[in-house]
Amino acid sequence: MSPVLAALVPVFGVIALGWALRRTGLVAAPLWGGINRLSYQALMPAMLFSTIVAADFAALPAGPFLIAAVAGFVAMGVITMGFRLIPMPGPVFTSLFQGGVRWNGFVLLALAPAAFGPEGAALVALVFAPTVPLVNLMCVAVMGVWGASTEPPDFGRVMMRIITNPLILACLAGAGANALGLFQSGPVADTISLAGRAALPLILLTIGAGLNFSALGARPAVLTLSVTLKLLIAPAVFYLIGVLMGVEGIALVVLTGVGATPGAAAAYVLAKEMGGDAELMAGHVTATTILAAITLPAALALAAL
Amino acid sequence: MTLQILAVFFPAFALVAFGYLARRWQIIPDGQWRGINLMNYRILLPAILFVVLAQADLTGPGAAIVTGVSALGILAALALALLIARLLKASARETAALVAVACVWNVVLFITLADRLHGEEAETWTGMIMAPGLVLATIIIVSAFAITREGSASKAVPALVRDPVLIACLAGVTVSFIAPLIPPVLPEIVVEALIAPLELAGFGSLALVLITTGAGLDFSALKGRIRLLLSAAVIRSVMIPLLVLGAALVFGADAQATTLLVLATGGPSAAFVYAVASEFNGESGLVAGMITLSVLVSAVVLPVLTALTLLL
Repeated sequence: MSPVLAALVPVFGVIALGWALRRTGLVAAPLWGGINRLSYQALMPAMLFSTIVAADFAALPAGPFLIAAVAGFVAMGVITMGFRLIPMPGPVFTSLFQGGVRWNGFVLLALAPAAFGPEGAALVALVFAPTVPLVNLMCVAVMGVWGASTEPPDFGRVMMRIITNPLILACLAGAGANALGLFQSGPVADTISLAGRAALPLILLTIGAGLNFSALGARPAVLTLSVTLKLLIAPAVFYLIGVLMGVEGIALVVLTGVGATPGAAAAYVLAKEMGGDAELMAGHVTATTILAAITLPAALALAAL
Repeated sequence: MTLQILAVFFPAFALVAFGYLARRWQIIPDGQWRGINLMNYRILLPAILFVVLAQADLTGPGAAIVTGVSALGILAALALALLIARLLKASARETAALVAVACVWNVVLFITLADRLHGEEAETWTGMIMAPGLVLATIIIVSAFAITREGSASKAVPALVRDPVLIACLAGVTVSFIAPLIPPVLPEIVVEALIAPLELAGFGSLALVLITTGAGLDFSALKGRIRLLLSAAVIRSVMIPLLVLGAALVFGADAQATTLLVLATGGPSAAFVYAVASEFNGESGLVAGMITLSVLVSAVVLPVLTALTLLL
């Protein structure tokens, strides 16, 4: 079995387990709040920090890779904006836009150590720092124009959320500590690493718990378009930008993987908050998560050729 | 030696401390811990226990001595708890709390520390040490709380049959015994595909269980009934590991296994005892105090005992 496929089985197995736990009521829907919060506030930042701090960036070109990743998300935003020409209600378009640009990096991060090695995993972790604010700003701007909410978007609040985002802070702290040679080993590094090991299983369980198969019937034409954008067009766009910018080897495979990740549940939360089509968003996240089990390894294999 | 011990113990106890602060400072509000605890008790803990036990070689060389000494530790804890409860004229409900805290050691802390101390080599022994500890201790504590609530041992049976931790342990032990005896029912790749998600969920979440142990610490529960609280902590974290060390030396257990036996049986009690006590309307406040004190005592005594055992 290839390393990617071997890593894929537990990743999607744990996602399926999360879905089964919520569906059977073993861990009912209202009880997932604390699990989410602990993951987001503490465990995921710990994982990002310890993945980045220990990486040897001398062996991998992080600079061009990050510029290509940012360009990939901007390009997907521009491509998705093109679909505004097709007549559809504003809130539906906002969900199509979020579907095209939002990514769930944790699925890729779970595969990364086995598929790309520790340095490849660190590249995946690094992508969070510039792209989480970028993607959030793009989505909030689009929601402000076409969302159903009558209140104007509060960009001050969005900026505050970005500045205090634990994932971004952890990435920056990890990169800083890596550059200074701090906390790369020893008791503190071991503690953060131990905490971080709990992040992926929990986030994969919560991804599974969030799957909503009844939402798959909502707006089948737009859903098909958003899934195609995310799982087929985005990986091709990221790959092409990588090739054009001279990214190669494992970094190019990682870059394609970033494009090929499924949609993120944060899109659903924002759609609810700012008047997007939340049902369509739930369907998009569910469909892309399930289909990514096939398309993500296929994209990685093609990029590695 | 001091640095080695610090490297083994610091991360685990730091996460326990983080869990305490996360609740104290309401980083995770009180109401949201329920889902985390439930996830631990119903899924993550059973997953990790099943995986470790199913892969353990319970009939391998040295297994009889190691499992025997581990079981002896639980039975000695039961006897000591009953004796001290009688001496202190404890009520039935207080006795149940003392028995439960004395008999149960924190398996997740043990797996974490064993891995940090001996790496993959520890896996030879962890399952052997855990199997009797888990099965016996779970039966004892669920029975203790069920009997004091229902007044009859037979009433404890339905609770035991439904207990996810006990189901996982028995399933793991059964697989461990049966798997080598029968021809493979499923191809190896299918077995790996079935085990891998449980392994990822269970092992990855060791930290989560340590954090919830910290979140469950309740220093306000340390007031009153100090003799019972101290008895539980001293039996759990001082008397049992010393007895187990003596038994391991007398029976000639492997040196690495001896260290791991002390590391396991000298650990604090587990938050899981609190969950069982609450489920059966037991003395959960007293149990919380006993667990808290056992964590504090273990944080000091266990590194010292482990260092001494390594020097033997």
